[in-house]
Amino acid sequence: MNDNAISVNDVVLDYPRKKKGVGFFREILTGRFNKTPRKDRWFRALNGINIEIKRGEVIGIMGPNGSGKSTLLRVIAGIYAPDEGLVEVEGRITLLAGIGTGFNQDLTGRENIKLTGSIYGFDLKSIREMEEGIIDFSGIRDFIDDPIRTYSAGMRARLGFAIISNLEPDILLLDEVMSVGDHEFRKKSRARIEELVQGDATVVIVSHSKSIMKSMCNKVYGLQKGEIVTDGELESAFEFYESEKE
Amino acid sequence: MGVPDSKVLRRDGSLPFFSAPFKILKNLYENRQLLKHFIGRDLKVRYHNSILGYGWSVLEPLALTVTFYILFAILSDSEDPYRPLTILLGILAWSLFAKTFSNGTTCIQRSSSLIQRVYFPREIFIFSKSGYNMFQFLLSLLVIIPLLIHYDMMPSKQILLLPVALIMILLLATGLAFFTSILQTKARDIEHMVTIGLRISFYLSPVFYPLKMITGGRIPSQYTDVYLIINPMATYITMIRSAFTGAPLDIPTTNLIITFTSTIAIFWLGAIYFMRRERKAVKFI
Repeated sequence: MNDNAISVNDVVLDYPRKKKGVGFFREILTGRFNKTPRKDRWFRALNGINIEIKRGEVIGIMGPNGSGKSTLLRVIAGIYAPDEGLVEVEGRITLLAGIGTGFNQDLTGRENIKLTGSIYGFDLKSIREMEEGIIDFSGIRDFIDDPIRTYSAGMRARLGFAIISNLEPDILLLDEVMSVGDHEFRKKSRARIEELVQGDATVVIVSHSKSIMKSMCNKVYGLQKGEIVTDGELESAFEFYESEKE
Repeated sequence: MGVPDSKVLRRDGSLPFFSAPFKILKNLYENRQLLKHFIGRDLKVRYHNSILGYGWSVLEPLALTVTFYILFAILSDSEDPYRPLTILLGILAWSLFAKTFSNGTTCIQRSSSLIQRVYFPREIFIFSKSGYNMFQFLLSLLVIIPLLIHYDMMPSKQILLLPVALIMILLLATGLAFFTSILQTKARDIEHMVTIGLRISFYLSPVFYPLKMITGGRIPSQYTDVYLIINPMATYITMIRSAFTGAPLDIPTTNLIITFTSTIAIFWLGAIYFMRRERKAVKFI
């Protein structure tokens, strides 16, 4: 059995430039369908990415905005299938990006816990076992049977983080999540992430914060225009990131 | 645990082709728990915050039935002893089809926040709409019980037509939604086209009138054959009516075979199309 939790081989991913294909009908009507050159319609978000991540490793990814960091995480999570190449992931995988959305506004907090749990592939029995822990961690027990639409943004963020971080994934993908919520919540979530990192979970972190990278990651890769440009050493990634800033 | 812990997720460039419908059914079975949750969610959301709750799924078809009944009593002189039942069954069957189709069309685009967060087979969204509407149909079907008692009707072996017709309606609506849900991610015009198309075919299908009004003589039979072939819903609605009234199904067997085959073909092709395009389509939402 191979000990890679994640392996990404020569992955290429194109993203549509025009977000909505409104031109689609116009193209059919005017007979110009498919005549726009491919490079004008698609934008290469990932260009031949190769990463092997071993079980239990903590990997950081840094890079300027638009360099493909979030897209890479989504490809690893299986949300986008690569246009070329192969992604293999072994274990239960959770992507945590922009907490607190994806809830159903009309259901109560408790019902949303159940729904989210089942979306991540847990059966009813294990969801019931986790439910109390999640409610405790979120610290909003008084409101847990109210519909989500009555929650404040902070309460939604708390519940979202509590659910995801208590699912105990084998692989955790974090996209800039340590910079949301109030101060106290940030501290709490950071402690929880450190706990997960020290456990046997494989973690991939996307962040702009050098201190997070330094304190948690075994390796940090720099990403630029959809390509990995550093070798995984922390220092070279920081150097690359600094040079990008200027 | 609901899923094996050593689940391997492989995503690459290869696409299923002829195996697509089987793959879809396999995914459906593996994610049945999730499917149940989605259906439950839709039902809960529908009945939360409404005073009548379940009443609404019954009141809407009832109100339409009363309207069409009065309209027919004024306009038409044809004699149909079971007219309220005919109209009610037509409306219930039609809304099962129309709602499955239109909800399915928009469900991928409307679920963008979920799709961008976690991967599971996206056809679950469409099937959850089929399941939800099927559930609604069965709930509203209860209102025909008083009518059946009134007419003193006992279900005969004709009732077996009911499950067949229901499965066919679901296959048809789901198969069509496989196409439109993908197209909808690229152009939001699709949902309006579906709405208009459904409105037109509501009047062109025997929803609030019996099929006999179309096949009953005024139109030459070669045209009614064409009509039955291009409008599978005409057959299925009539099957559901026969299931309860016990009246013989007045549709030639060849037509039935053609209708069933075309419905299964639509589902099959839709499944292939969906499996091939889904991965690209989610980039547009």
